[in-house]
Amino acid sequence: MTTCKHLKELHTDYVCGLLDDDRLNLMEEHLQNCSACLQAVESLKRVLSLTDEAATISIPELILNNLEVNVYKRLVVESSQPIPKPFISRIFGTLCSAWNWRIAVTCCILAVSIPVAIIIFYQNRSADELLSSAQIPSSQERVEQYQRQQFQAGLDNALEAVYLRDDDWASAGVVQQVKEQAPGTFWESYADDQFHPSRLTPKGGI
Amino acid sequence: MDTMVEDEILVAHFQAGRQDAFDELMKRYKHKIFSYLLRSVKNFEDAEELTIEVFVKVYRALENWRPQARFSTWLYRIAYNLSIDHHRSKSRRITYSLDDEELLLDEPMANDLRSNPEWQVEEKDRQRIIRDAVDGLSPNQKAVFMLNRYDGLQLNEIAEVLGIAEGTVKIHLHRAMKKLKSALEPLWENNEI
Repeated sequence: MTTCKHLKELHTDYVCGLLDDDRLNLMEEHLQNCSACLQAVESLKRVLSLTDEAATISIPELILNNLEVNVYKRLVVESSQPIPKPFISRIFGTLCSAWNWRIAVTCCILAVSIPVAIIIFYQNRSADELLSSAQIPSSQERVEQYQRQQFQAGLDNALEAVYLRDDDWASAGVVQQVKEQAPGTFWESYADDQFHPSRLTPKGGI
Repeated sequence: MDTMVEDEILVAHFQAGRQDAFDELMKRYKHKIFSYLLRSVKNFEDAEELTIEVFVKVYRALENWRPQARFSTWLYRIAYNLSIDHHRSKSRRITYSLDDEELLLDEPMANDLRSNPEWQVEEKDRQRIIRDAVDGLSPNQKAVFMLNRYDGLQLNEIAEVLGIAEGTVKIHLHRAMKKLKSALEPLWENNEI
């Protein structure tokens, strides 16, 4: 059997019309036999009656009649309003129009970017030119350069040995070394030319 | 247009380009939305302004609206959100309250009774007590109570409007009824009403 305790929780649902058919029948059967629950339910109904009554207000017809017109008026007004400008544009809006503002910004950007582009262009170009014009010898050239220096130094020593120290053996050794290291080159013919017996002075000539 | 046409069908008509469908929707709901907002903001001017705003928002959003919920629920949700925004900004303004005398009760009373000054004072006092009792509810309790009692929304619809669970709606309604009962019961026990 359903007790008051169980149905007490449903009093509000009952007066607010939230019960399904089964529980509604159950509640109504119970209320026929339970004066306490009936009194509680009547109290709630009275509460609702009072609040419904207090909430009943008369709305002037004029307001409701003009409502549609006012809605369309609002739509027309809002659709004709310009789109709000961004913050920066609003700040400078008093000084110039949006179009002038765009032109001014574009000019500023061009005024800065063109000199920067020119500087960057010439910087890159001068660097390229510097690199291309620089006489940086390759490793093969460097080797040849060192060989020339070595041959030159060797021949200088040989000339010094022949003419200053009268040391034929030393000069002949150096000349032979140059000839062996640079066969068929300028240095071989140079050595032959410089140390040819016809060009050498007789011993004791100096 | 047929008044029995469902709201969602009217919306489809509007989306197809029929302007009169929106007129019909406004005609159906303007009184309900205005009443709801008037009870919420307690001010004719603000209620009218907010009602217009509700329908303007609806007009703009209706083109892309999809019937995931009932149209009326969506409408009440917009109205509820606007009323919340209004209450948040309310402190900045002095409003003309529902307690003012221009808001007449729509009761079928005899003229001689209305003209009785003593009755008028008592009636006014009684209405004030009842309104104070309703205003004494928490915001959620009041919203649930008003949507259920005055606008006839079901619990699931209220849950959608307020964005809360249906069980929570039921709890708010029970607590609201309990609080109202304890606030108003002394009145009839003391034979004041």
